[in-house]
Order: sequence, then C-alpha cells, then structure tokens
Amino acid sequence: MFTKVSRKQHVARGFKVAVAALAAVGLVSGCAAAEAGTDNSKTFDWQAYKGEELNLLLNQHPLAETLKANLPEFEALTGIKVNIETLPEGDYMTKITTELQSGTGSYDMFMTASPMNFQYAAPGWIEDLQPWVDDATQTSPDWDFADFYPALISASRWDKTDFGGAGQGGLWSLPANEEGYALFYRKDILEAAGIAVPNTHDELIAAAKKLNGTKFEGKTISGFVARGDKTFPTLNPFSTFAGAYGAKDIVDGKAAVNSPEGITAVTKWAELMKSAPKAASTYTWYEAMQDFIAGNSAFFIDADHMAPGFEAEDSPIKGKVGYALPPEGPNGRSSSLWVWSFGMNSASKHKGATWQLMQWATSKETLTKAIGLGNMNPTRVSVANSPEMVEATSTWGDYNTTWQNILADYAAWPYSPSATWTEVGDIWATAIQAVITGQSGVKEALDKAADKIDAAIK
Amino acid sequence: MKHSKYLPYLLSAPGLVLLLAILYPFLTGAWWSFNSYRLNRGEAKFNWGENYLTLVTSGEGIHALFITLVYTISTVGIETLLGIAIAMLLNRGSYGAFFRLLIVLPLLLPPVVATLMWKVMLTQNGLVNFLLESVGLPTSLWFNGPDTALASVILIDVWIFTPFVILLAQAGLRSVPTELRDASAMDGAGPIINFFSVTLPLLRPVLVVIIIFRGIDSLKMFDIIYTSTKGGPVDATTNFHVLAYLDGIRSLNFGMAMASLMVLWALTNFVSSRLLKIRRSEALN
Repeated sequence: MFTKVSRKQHVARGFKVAVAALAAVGLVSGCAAAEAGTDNSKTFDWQAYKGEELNLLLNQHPLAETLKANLPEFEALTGIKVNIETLPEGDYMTKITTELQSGTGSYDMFMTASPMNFQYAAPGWIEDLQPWVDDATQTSPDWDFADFYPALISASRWDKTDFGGAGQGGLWSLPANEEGYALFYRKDILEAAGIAVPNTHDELIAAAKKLNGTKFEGKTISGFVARGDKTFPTLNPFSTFAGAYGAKDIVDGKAAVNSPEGITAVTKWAELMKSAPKAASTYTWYEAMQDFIAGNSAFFIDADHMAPGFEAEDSPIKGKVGYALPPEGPNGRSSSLWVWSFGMNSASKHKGATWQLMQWATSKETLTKAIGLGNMNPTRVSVANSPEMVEATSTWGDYNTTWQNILADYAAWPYSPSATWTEVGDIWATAIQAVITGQSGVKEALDKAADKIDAAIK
Repeated sequence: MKHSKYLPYLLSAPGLVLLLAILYPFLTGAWWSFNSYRLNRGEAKFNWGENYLTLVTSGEGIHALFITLVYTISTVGIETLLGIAIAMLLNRGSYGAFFRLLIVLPLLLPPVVATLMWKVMLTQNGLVNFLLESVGLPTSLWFNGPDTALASVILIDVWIFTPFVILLAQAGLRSVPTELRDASAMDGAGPIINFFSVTLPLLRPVLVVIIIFRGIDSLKMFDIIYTSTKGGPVDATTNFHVLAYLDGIRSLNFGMAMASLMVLWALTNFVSSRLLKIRRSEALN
C-alpha cells in the first residue's frame, strides 16, 4: 500500500523539483550565452581564450627550452596560463603515446614528428590542424602559413592510407624545428693526418679506420661515432647509408630490409661502426653527441642542427667542426628528415586556446627569437634567411649553406607511412644493433627482422 | 552476543570489493592474451592463443624464459650465500647500530635511483673502469656489452638486495641457541661441521622465507633491468616482464604483452606454491 505523503512533504518535494528545473534551465542558458559569445567574435582575437589553462608535454630538446623561455610573452598576450612538463626523449615517447591513447585530454599540446604522426593519426588521437589553419576567426592574419618550407608542411601531411598517402591529406602538426642528417668532421684532426673530406661511403669508412685508435693532442680518438641504440631513431643517421644504397623498409606491403640493397647498406654501416667505440652500440643521439663534443671522435653522422652544441662557448671542439653533405652512394646522397613539430591532442578540452599557443610558438617572431636560444634549423623561409640566422651561424664555417643544401636536395622522410611504423623501425634498429655488437651476421639478422616486420604489419 | 545477521557480510565486504578490483584487470588481461589486440589498430580479435604460439615460434618467449631463470637463480643464489656469510660475520661481535644502518643503506634507495647511480659509474670511460685500470685490472663494457650486460644487471640486484637477506639471516641466526653450538663444539665438532650440521638445519625456515621473497621478486624484476639496459643490447637482458613492457607500451601490442605476462604469472605461481609447500612442511616440523 502507498505510504501516506503528508501535505507538507508534498509541497517540499514539489519545491525541490522546481528549484532543480530552474537550475537546469539556468545552466543551459548560461552555456548558450557563453557559446553565443565566442561565436559572435567574427575577427581573430588574441584575448578570446583569456583565463584558460593549458598543459604541455614536451621532449627535452632546445625547442622546448626556447618555448619555456619565451612563454611569459605569450601569457601576457593572451591571458592563458601554460604549464610545461619535459621528459628525456626515450621516456617522452612512451609517456606521450600512453597519454594520447588514454583519451583523457590531460595534455593539450605536445611535440611530435612524422613517424609519431602516423602512429597517432590513424586511431584519431591527434587533431587535424588544416580546419584551424583555414578558420580566419581562429588564426591570426599575420601568421603567414605559406612562409613554412613546403617540404616540411608536406612531411606533416598524411591521408591515413597504410603505406601510402604521405604528403597529402590532413595536417597533423606544425613544424617548428628541422633537422637533416649531415657528416660532421674534425677539421683539425683531418688536417693533421692529411686526409681529405670523404665524399663517398667507402672513403668515409677508410678514413675512419685510418684515424681510429690514433692519438691526437694526447688523447686516443675513435674514427667515428653514431647512435647504435635499438630503437627507431637510430634509423635517422642510418638513412645516410640506407637511401644511398637504395635500401627500403617495406615494399608493396612486404618487408624489404633483407633485400640485396638492404644487406649492403647494413654491411657498410657496420663496417663504419667498427671504428666507433664499443659502447656506441647502445648510444642514443645524446650520448653520441656528448662523445663528439668531448672531442673523442673524428667523424660523426647525426642531425645537422646539433651545431649550436658543437659551437657553444664552452665546447671543447668550438670552431673545429666541418659540416659536409652526407656521403654519396650508388643511389646518390640520402638524408632523413626529422621535423620536431607541435601537435594538438584531439581529446583536448581547450582546443581554441591550444591553437593560439601553436600559432604563436610557430610565428615568425617567436621562431626568430628561438634561434638565439639554439632552436634550429628554422622551418620558415623568412626565418632561415633572416639576419639573426646568418649572424648566429657566422662563425660556423659552411654550416648555413650545408643545412639548406641538405633540406633543398636530399632531406625527406625515407620510410613508409604507417600506424605500425615505429614498431617496424624498432625491429630494424634492433637487427642493426645485433650486427654491430657481433651477435649476428648481416643476412641472418635482417632475415629475422624481415619475418618479424611481416608479422607486425599483417 | 546479539549482532545483525548481516555482520559477517558487512565485515567481509571490503575484502570482496578488493578481490573484484584485483580480479577485473587480471581477467581482462588474461582475455586480451587470447586476442590480437594492438592499441592503435582497433578492436581486439580472438585468436585462439596465437600469441602464445608466437612467443615460442619467434624464439622471444624461450629466450625470455632463459633470461628470467638465469637472472633469478643467479641473484637468489648469490644473495643468499653472500647474505648468510655476512650475517654470520656480523654475528661474531657487537658491531652496533651504526654498522647495521650502513649495511641496510642500499636497500633504502629506490631501485631505479640505485640503478641510475651505477649506470653513470659503469660507463666505458666511467669511474669504475678508471679505478680498475689504475690498479691494472681489466676493464669491462658493463651494460653496453652483449656478454657483460646480464652479469652487470645481476650485480646491481645483488648490491641492492643482499642487505635484505642479511637482515633476515641475522634474525634467523639469533634464534639459533648458542648452547647447541657450544655443546657440539665440546663434542669436538669443528666450525665447518658446526655450521652444516647445527646452524644450517636450524636456519632452514628463514632460508625458505628468503628464497620465497627474493625468488618471486627476481622472477618479475623490471626496474633494474629497464633502467639500465632497456632489455638490451638487442635482447641480452630481456626477461618476461621487460618483454611485456616493450611489446605492450612501446609497440602498443597489448595481446602479446598480456601473453608474456600470463606466462610470467604461471611461472611465479608455480615457484611460489612449491616454496610455500616446503615452508608449510617446515612449520609442521
């Protein structure tokens, strides 16, 4: 039987319902008003997202340092508060992947590059930026999208076709820092030994072998140094060998790392690595760079934009480094292209504010200022030709012409666009490491890698 | 005493909730291990245990099993022997609270911090090699050499966890009544017979506890290995746990990662149940 509700309880209940209904209406109309507010601004306004707070996850890299240093300017301009978290590269790659995958939007903006874009765009974890670029109410009229190097914008596009469609489709990130891969050599060591700057791979291998273990200014030097770590970034300096010999990772949906060209490329690379310190087989770019800066090596192949580190005031090798194009092979010269860029989390709850930060961080002014703090190479044509860039590199020999040469003629992302590419890259890099540490013969390691890659991409 | 007939249920409810909270991720993981599940490739597809087959056919699982067992047996063996030996030495005098604190220090550090410390010292041109060279001893590649990486990682584990064994062994030794040892000494038993026939049998219960703790910990060791070598060079230090991490978090292949972890779980379960059985029979004696 129904419990008797007294008249008092009935009124109280009705009152509560009315209040709830009023509150709900108030909330909805409040939301509508706010929505209408932002829609009404037909022109771009730096203050449109004032009061919002953004969280960034960045790789420990000069790009992140320059962003941090210039941040107060952005906060004053827009009234948006920005929190930055940085991590060393290995840990950064893992954390950003887990964060994006979780879909919680805990970070709004992050650093990314081509193969990472492939991994994140396919499942929809990152935001396509083209609609934002095209939206005049969200993009500052002075931003000048056309000023970016076309090659770098193209490198940030992918239409999500597995193993195809790179260079077209959605824009997944904004380039802020470019690196091609160059051959660094110690001018003083080569001069003392009477060795010419090597032009081909065989010349480089011979020169490194000749210099390996010799004494220079009281220090025993190694002929060569490079990354040997078993993760995919090692394939970047390796690209100067891979592409030059015509080696490819995947052809027609099947692994091609054990093709005759692939075997030749790894054999030559392993030959060169014999003139590197034994520990180099586990070096990441950081350890390799430190080794070269400490003056322990005659040759080094890695990202050309490490120059600021070589030419810093307190660098032992300041003024002694020569910058050359990557060696020439049967297929010409080859260089990978790594473009550290800014990407937007598709789960971000502050996309408008994030887009403002992204524009500002890649604007002409900010990128020009970033040169002085070591952020190179510039991704905008105007910034690359700016007096600031010329001045910053004035004492660095032919650095300025070399990197522009590499970008103009050789640098490209040489590997297949695919959501699983990072795993493919890890497998290939591990096989190369097995060869360098002497644990495996070249053909054996690459055949095994080819099987694993086929299993990973099927 | 009068109490609500729901009291037993209320009292055991938190435990049940905790059990469900543990069972849910475990059963989900077990389910995923039977699926082809890559995080950025869409939904999980049932694959009839193909992941387990791949572990065997690709050789990765066999290799991980080998590394796991070598690591566990080495660390447990060395730590137990070293720990008991040091505990016996400490037992001979009153070394006081100061030494006890000193001995325990490696254990107080988080394993990752200790490993990073050693990683810096064990580089090719690092501190340890420099000291070895200055006394004319051969240097080593430590974490960077394919032949020396596993030994180096075992060394770190021994450095960190031997104090744990020492603490337990000290407690165990103190429970051995001195009258027994004095009595057997009076009967003409030398120190060696004394140790093997008197002390050791009485230490057995503590020994089993030591092996249970260190054994299970070593079977699933991750921090030390990943921090120092990330499982490398190539796969010289990749045990099941590291393999699962590389598959799951680096390659986003959750199906394979769960398969590795389920194998690890089965292994750990087997080892611990054997050891607990021994312990129970000890207790009964």
